[in-house]
Amino acid sequence: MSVETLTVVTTNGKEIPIVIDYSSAPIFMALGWLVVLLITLYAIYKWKSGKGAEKK
Amino acid sequence: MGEQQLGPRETWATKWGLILAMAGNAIGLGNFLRFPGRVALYGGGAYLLPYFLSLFILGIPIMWLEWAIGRYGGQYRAHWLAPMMYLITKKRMSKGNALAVAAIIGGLSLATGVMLTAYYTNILGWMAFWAGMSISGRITEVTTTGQAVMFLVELLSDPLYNLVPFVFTLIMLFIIVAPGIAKGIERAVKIMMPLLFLFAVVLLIVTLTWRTPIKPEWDSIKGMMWMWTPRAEKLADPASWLEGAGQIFFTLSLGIAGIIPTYASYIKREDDIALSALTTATLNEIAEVIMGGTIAFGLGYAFGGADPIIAVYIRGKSPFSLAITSYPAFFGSLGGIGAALGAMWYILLWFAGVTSAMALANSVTEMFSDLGLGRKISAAISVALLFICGLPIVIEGHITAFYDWGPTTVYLDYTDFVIGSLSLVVIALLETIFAGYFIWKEGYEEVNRGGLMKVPLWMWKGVLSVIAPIFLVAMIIWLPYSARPSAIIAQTGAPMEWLGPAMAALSSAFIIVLFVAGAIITIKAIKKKYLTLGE
Repeated sequence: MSVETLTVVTTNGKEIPIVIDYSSAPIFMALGWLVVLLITLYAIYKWKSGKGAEKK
Repeated sequence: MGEQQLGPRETWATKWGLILAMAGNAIGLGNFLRFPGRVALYGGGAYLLPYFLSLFILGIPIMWLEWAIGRYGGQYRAHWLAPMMYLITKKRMSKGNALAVAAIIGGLSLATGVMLTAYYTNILGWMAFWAGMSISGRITEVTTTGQAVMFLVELLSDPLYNLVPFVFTLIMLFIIVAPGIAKGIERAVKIMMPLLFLFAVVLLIVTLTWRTPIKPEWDSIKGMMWMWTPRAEKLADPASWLEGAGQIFFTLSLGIAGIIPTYASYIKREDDIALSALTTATLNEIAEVIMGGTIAFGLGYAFGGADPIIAVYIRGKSPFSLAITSYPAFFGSLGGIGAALGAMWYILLWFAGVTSAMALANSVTEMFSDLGLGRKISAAISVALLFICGLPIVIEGHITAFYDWGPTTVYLDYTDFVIGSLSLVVIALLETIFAGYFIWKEGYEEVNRGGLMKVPLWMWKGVLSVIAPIFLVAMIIWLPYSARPSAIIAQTGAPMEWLGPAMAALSSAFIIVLFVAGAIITIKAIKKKYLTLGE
């Protein structure tokens, strides 16, 4: 289930329903991981090509 | 005067020692505790837009700038920010004006370096406390948040009990910093950083795969999804953009007492800094987005259901406070396995913090070393200052608990507001203007020298000349507003009326004294060693 309703009870006893639809959350989490992965791969590539140039 | 005439200098023994130390400097409690809270409060998944935009157009370029400042200064045996900025600023200004700029930076650096580390090591003491409770197995006595709070209150209210983990952390800092870069700091990070990542990976796997026996429907994946749920409407709020920039600033440790330039000053002149700096930022982002973005909320939901989520997401409570009050109960209720996981979690947080604190302590040590005091004595003075300036936190906890008011942390919160919110942004702004904008061409040559990658010219010139100064001025206005000091001082109500302002006043007094002392040390050191260098 990707939609959830939480009931928050305030300090004066009032109940407030909060509805969250987290169906698109995995996409955004994956996007964050992807950006970090791309930066990591770029850095690795640059280290390898830098070491190759040094050996030459 | 050429570099050869200045004599030998200390340098990093290995490239990976440098990168792990810089990464350790950046990776701290904020990666695992501050970041999840910021994501939850400022747009969820949508927060990634201001966050990553700030990383690329602000964070990484300023990192490059700080590494370049440091390596340049190291040629002249300047191992702290103020003399580096003097050497750079006098390229465009008179020596008198350059000295004035350096004195301001020196004052800010000492005040920031001491006060920030003083309260940070107190917090690390609390992490060490829970690590000790986990290792000894006593954490299994804690099965509710109420019990965890009781243990914490006992710790904060008993000065001797509170002093033990605080002093332990300070002693470890001295042991690491006193021997120097290669024999102290580099050795320490080569142990701590791999262990930190190992523990984080284990906790990540646990978070993603394990279902706790507390309540089977408390799914850790759901906790993560709560955090990453996008709330695009938040992007219309300038706060989300400023907080995105602010988080990048704190997470990469930019402008903090010149600790990045200090570490960079031990790099050899022809060694790469561009790719090394990018690698450091990469390691930080792995710790923050992947690990920090998963563990805290995932474990919180798996062990506590919706309550931790509501506390952060709706009531705006910091995940940091959950880490020391709710999480012990989570681990404690799982018996032996919980104790093992708790040990990993709190040791990870302690390592993350100590690797940052050692960079700060090292910068302060270098300041005193330039007065000719010797490394060990300078390190001892630095740690003694940390103890003196951190002691009010211990005393405040005792007084407020003794009088049944707390315990409270007004001194810590006020210092965090002044030093943690304001001073680092001011230092970064001064760096950007004097070392970036004024001499951007020379700086561009410096940052690319020996580089294994080329820094894009548009990122260097455009950011340092236009984007960074605008953002930094906006942050100087925004951050104090968002912290709201009135809320800090008034937090505990009527009985605290005299103690809250007293703690704020004491913190202010320490900051002013340290600022003046830092400015005086800067002027003395520059006149003694750096006045004619770099001409």
